[in-house]
Amino acid sequence: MESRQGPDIIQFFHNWQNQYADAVVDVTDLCTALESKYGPYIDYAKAHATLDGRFTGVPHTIVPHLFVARMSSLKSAGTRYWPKTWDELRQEGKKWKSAGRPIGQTVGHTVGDAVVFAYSYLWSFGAAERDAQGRVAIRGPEALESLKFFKALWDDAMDPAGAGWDDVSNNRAFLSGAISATTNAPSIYLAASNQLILDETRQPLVRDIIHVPHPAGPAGLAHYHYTQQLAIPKYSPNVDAAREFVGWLMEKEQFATYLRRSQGYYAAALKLYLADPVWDMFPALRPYRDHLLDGRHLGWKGPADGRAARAVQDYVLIDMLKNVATGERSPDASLRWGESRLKAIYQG
Amino acid sequence: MATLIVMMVLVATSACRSEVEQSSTAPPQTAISGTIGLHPSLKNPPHEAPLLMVLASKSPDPNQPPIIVKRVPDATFPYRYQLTAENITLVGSTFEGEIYVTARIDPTGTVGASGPGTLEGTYPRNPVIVGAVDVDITIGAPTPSAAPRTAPNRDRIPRIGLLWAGQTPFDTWSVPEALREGFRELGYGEGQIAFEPRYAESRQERLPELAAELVRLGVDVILAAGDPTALQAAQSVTKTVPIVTMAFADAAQLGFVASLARPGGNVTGLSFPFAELVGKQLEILVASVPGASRIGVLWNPDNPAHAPVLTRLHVAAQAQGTVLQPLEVRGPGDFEDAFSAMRADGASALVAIWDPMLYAHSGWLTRLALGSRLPASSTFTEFVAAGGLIAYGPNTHDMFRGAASYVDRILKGARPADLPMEQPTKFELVINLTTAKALGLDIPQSVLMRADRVIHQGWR
Repeated sequence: MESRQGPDIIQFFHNWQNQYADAVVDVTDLCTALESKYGPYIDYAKAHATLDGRFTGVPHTIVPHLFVARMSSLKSAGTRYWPKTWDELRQEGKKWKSAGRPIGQTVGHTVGDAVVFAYSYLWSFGAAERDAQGRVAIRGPEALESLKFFKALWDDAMDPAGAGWDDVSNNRAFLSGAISATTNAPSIYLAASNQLILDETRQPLVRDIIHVPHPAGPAGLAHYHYTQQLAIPKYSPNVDAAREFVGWLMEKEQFATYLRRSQGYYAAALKLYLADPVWDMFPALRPYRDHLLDGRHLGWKGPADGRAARAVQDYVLIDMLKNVATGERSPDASLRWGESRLKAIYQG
Repeated sequence: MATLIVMMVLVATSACRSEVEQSSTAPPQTAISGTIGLHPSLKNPPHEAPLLMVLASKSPDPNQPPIIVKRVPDATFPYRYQLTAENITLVGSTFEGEIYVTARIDPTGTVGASGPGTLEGTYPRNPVIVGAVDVDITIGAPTPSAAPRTAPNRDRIPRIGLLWAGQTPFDTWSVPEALREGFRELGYGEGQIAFEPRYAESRQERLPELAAELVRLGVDVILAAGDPTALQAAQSVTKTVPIVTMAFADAAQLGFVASLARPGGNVTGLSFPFAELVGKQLEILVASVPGASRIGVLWNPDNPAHAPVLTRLHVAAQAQGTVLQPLEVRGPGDFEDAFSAMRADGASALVAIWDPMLYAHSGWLTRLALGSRLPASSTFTEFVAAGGLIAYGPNTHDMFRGAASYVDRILKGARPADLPMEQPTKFELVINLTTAKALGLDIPQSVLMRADRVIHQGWR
């Protein structure tokens, strides 16, 4: 974007095009036309695609994230149901870890999984980067409690290697049978299914995979599913063609096919597709659909602006967790560090 | 940041265009085509809207990954199919050489060795080569070479639809262990009964759609568990498929059946008029908390069983000289407000009326109660294991076992209309002493002596 040359259409993760709001074409007319034809967007997908009421990108897809777990590992460790709270996860995860299959969770510098985990985990404790007025509000008893608890959860139940994992490490660890559970998109399931990966008993691993919600924290259940938008840079010499192409692509005829081709990996930003037959083609992935509306937008409780994108790209919340996990900082010190980073981003 | 920009690959979209059509116009040289039918021995199609999967493999070994898995929801039979290179799902494979074509109907959409409920068919003259036509497959034919995996004297595995308003409660995307146990005790081994669990994830408005899905799947029995909304939904979509309920409600009083002794219609099962229990539950709670005068009550107005329960509680409270503070909770989003209100008004203890939503969130609920220093009581024993102080009610495991026995009798030919509904008669009082200690409560001996079980289970 900054070199002012390149592709005519760019797909952005999260709400990242909002950092370049002045350099992308306003696509409000296109999006409102789609909304009036197909019904509303999922709220956080819309929040990620807009800035100050105008669309900076066309909401395209959502990559939904839940916990992916090995039913047999959980059962053989004596777990009777998927933990409903973080406390229960710690309690049960301890058993999984001592049986040799911990929870494998990245808190490394990744684009997807670590962001998903860090944001939804902190939200579930009632912590937020900002208050409704947009002021940095991370430092409070909720975030402190969440960091203290995270250290215990990490030590008791999680794989220490996760501190340095990237977005595919957990897929590999899961598919090779090294971990019991991890936050992920449907990619683990789809790899196990498409490549027909067998487990230790020579049975298809897919039959052993379950998709389950994040455990609840003191403030309840929170999920983060990252979104993707199609944005058209103003430098493009083909703005009209790009606009026309994106409009065509988002028509149901094309987009429904696109969803099916993605095999349930992508969900749609439009609520319409919650009822799409793609969920009948992959019944095991239905929990992703069922929790799709639970998500929140980046920067919550403030707006999903460019600064909220920056906070993700600087890994602030992730590092707050990671530094506590590795013992580099105490929960209190990590929170103070995080607050100063967020203040530099949001108020600097 | 280098990862920021992902370019749209325009080519990908034109490649996807081919998936939707199921035409017969593709040149035969690049396709394999044929018809998939159901074997006549399948007295009923396994499900009315099955997920058909057409698979192409380079090996006859079912545990080798297929190069193509073509998924067809809502298939009608006979089904005309055509496979081309555009259907390839295994990245990096080619559509050439010898290819083994099979088809299956699988409730979970899983490939590989078959599991419960899978029906399969193989093209008898496999392998074929690309260009082959009339590669016709019959699903569900008895194969003499393969040893039967299931009970030999059943035409097919009975399928039980499980409908539940709350969140995936036990084994998550699976079936409550107590229910499986119930069926095991009745002689159903692994693979001799299949479950179709459908959880509304605390969104009760989804229940009718889920119930309709179960009917479409052609389940033999619907087990409507939890609260009356699941029963209501199941009853609204079918008057013929037998429904077994294990609802925490008085099924006759709410008009779901003609009478408990002769339910009529297609509904039977366990009826649990727990309104009659809550008076005693309140009495035990008040006896355990010295000076308790104001009791918060969490109830769900969407649960039709709750209004009569609330009335009973008011009567009991009056008799015991306490005041109730009813608080509506429709979902976990209402918890915070309910607890703030209780704190603000000085409630000294709390009753959570049994509800699938509260059940699903019991861990969180009990933690909020501890945080507000409120002794909490409910009807289900798991509430105490999750950190609640007191539970008084029937054993959930016993209820699931009871429900399994109804299903078994129906599978053996009994008519639901003729099966009298049962009511649990055995109730347990369970107390968590770790929670009592955390609350600084000394549970009086008189209460402890009435307890069936005392547990010491902290959850932190």
